[in-house]
Amino acid sequence: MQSPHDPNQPPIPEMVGATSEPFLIREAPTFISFDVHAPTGPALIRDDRTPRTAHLGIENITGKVDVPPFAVYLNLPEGSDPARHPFRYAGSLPMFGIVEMSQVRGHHPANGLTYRFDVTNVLLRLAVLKEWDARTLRVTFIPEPWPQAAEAQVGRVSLYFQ
Amino acid sequence: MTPRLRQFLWRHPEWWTVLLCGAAWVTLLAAGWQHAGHQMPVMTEIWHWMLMVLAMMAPFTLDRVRVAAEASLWARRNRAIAGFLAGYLAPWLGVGVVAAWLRQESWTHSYAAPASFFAIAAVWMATTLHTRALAGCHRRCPLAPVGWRADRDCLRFGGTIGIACVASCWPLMLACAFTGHSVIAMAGGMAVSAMERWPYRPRQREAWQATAALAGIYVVLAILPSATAFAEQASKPVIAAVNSTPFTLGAKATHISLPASKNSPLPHINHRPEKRYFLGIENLRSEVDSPAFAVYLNLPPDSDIAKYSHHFAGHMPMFGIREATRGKPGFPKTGLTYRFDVTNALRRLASQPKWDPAQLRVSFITERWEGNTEVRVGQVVLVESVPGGQ
Repeated sequence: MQSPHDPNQPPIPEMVGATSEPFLIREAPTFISFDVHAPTGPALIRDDRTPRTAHLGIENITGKVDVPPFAVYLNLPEGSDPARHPFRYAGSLPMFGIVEMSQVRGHHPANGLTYRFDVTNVLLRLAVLKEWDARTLRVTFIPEPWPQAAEAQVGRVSLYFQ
Repeated sequence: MTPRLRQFLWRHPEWWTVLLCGAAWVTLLAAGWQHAGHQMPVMTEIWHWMLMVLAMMAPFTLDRVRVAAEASLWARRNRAIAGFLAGYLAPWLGVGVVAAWLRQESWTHSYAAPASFFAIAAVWMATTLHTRALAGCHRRCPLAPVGWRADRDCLRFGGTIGIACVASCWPLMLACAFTGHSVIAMAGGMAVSAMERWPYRPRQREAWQATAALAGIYVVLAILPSATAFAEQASKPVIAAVNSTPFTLGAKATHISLPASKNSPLPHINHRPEKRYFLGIENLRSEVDSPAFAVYLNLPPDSDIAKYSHHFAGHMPMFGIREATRGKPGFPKTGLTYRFDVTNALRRLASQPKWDPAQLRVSFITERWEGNTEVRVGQVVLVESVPGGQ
């Protein structure tokens, strides 16, 4: 198939995997995993020789109370110390304004917070170390220390190839 | 398909939604530049309502359509869009049923109805509820990637946006529907919605002013003398069907055919609620006393008239026919003439599948009579007019 990619325009992102239901993240570490599907669209047939990138989306984070920032790791072994696996670190989720973003105010539709991380290097390293089989991705949310109970809902975690 | 075209379609997965919007506009325009006063059957009203929703509202959901596609697996993109649109249109269908039901009432066919609803829309736009609904039009719902959950989420996403859209724009859309889907009203309604939906900060003041202006236009149309003149012009009677060949009524049932005239309104009879239809049986003459006749429309041959009471047009007593035929000083020899309002009977017949707008069958059924009778009929004519018209 001839590539339709125009080098003058940014590549077209293709969603290859996501969680099926919203879930809660609390003051304890939270682990979720989802299936990763082989790309069948533009991420499959790119031949412009630019490196493919991978983006992790943490979408529609809502909450009724203030919560601490969360660190996000990929394929972190359960029970392991995140500090010993810095190469699995995907990014940090600041939760500033989460309560306000979860309420309909003025012209804001209460979509919550959404973050997107470039995890290309993390996945490449995991693949080289044979710690990622490209079929399932495990995402871990590690909260920073927080003096009180905290709970936020994540609408979806998704993986895009671009 | 060229690579450039494929890339364009990939970048714009909402392309076929845009085509649907365009097709809706074309269909509505092809249906005619309609104006207040046209009445359609309920199902046709609902169909036109949904076309109007697609034409007017769907363009403002294109960004949500794109979100639904881009948040789905590549192979599911079009299915996700279809699910989103089904969910989006469902709330509008509910409102459409109510609108179609209201359109069966005569007051929704006056200029006062859209004027009132544009005014309600202007008031509604100043409320907090409208602002919240408008914000809801930009919601984003998480979508599952595969399986029934993915379909459910697409429907729910569309339904969420559809409900917010209904809550935001219901008076505006009802006003447009009550104009008979007038292109001017629809274009104005779209402009109002565009001011609210497309800018990063909704231009609500300008939208309110535009809505108030639309209300003003229809208030003026409702009271302007030219509108009355237009109504008078429209009230001129039009011959829908005529049989000018004289014939004779005897003791047996007589059936005649009334061919539709050129440009007859008979095919559009159920689209003209303000019109009335009158059947004229003119110049009935006889030298002898005659029985009364019952007149029926489209009565099947050899049928029992007791079962076809809804075909009944009127009753013709023949009292005084001899005198009206002979005439006397000061009275012309024009015979008797009857005129029946057959609007309701015709509308019922026109809604039946066997309705043939090309011709009308008129039957004259004599009452029991022991003597001979012979009544000559000069002309039978069906006229379209309005109450109080000429």
